[in-house]
Amino acid sequence: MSIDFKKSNPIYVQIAYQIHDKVLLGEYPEETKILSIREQAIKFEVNPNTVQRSYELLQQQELIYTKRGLGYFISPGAKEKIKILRKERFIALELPVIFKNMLLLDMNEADLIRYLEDYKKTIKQKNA
Amino acid sequence: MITLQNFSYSYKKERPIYQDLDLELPPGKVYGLFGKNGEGKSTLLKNMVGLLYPTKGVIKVGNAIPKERKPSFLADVFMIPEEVYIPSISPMSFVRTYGALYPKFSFDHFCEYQDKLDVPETKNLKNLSFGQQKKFYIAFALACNTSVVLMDEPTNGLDIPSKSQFRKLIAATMRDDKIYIISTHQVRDLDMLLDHILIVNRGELLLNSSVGVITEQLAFNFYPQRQEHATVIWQEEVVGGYAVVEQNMQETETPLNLEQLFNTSVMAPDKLKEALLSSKTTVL
Repeated sequence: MSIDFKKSNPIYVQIAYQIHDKVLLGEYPEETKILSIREQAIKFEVNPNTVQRSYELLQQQELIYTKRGLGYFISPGAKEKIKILRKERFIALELPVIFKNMLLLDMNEADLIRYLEDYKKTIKQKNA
Repeated sequence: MITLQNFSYSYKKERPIYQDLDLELPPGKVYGLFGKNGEGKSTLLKNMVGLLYPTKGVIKVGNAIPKERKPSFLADVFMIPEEVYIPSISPMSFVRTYGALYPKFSFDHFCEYQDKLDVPETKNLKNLSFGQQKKFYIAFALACNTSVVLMDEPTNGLDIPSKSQFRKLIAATMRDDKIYIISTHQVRDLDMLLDHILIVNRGELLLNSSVGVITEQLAFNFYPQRQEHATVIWQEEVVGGYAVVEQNMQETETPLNLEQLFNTSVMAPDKLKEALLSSKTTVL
């Protein structure tokens, strides 16, 4: 069995994820105009064709759309769509890693729930 | 488009640098040219601008033949050598004198780029350090807005913030009708800017492939143990495990690792070619 320790994503996917994050964090509300391909390329110091691919991916995911001659905008309902996409990814890729470690370390569901409750409490305290 | 047909070049008859090389470089791309020291990267660039003449074969840049050195050709191509030669004059005299040779030269662009690269003001260019002179030259070169820009180790001598600014300038000035060729050893300086990789070794083109095809066909992975399966193309021991270049069997892609790619092209050229040839969207 081989384990990938550093199975990172290609740059164009990472850029798309960064835009996902900004939508989730509320930095990019619906109908916000986002940076042009060129501006984004300059910001990240990458090839404009790479950003082109990121934007194609985002368009495919129906998260952004173009207005002719005006640029790229965040689609209505983008936040909800990203949550669904992220959830699928979390369940498929991140949860198995957590489960595997739980089995290795003899942890059960009750442990998990306890830590989750602790975590929720700290978050609440931070926000209070 | 830059086209090479049967291109051969040798400094000494008995030791050819290039032999019967065919190559087509369409516009709209940033090409990365890699090779070990003395393998002919600069020689290739110099042949493309007419500083050297092919021993055999033809080079065409657009419709022009560099060797003829026609003014219309020279006005639309710029080469930034590794070590720039700067005369002992003021920046303004330099810009006025040499800018006049390039019809698309923009003084506004020059000021903007010079500002971004943080070139200090001076009465005489000779007072600038090597790195500052190079930055001045890069600002000037990009402001000439030529269709072809050949850069030989452009980031050598640049400080850390300037390298970042240089990358921004490349991203900002690249256009669909331009060709940028960057020859470099600094694989980590420019890897995210490149569209296409060219690797030369012993006069041969070991690799001529778009980054898209490379990342679709190859996976750059790291494993704690040595890998023995048939899809491995090349692996080497690194701190903590093995850096492995293998055929990409997944739908997803891994980021390009230029250092690994370069080593693979030198150490396992045939396996690498085979893996890339199986591409569905061959753009070789």
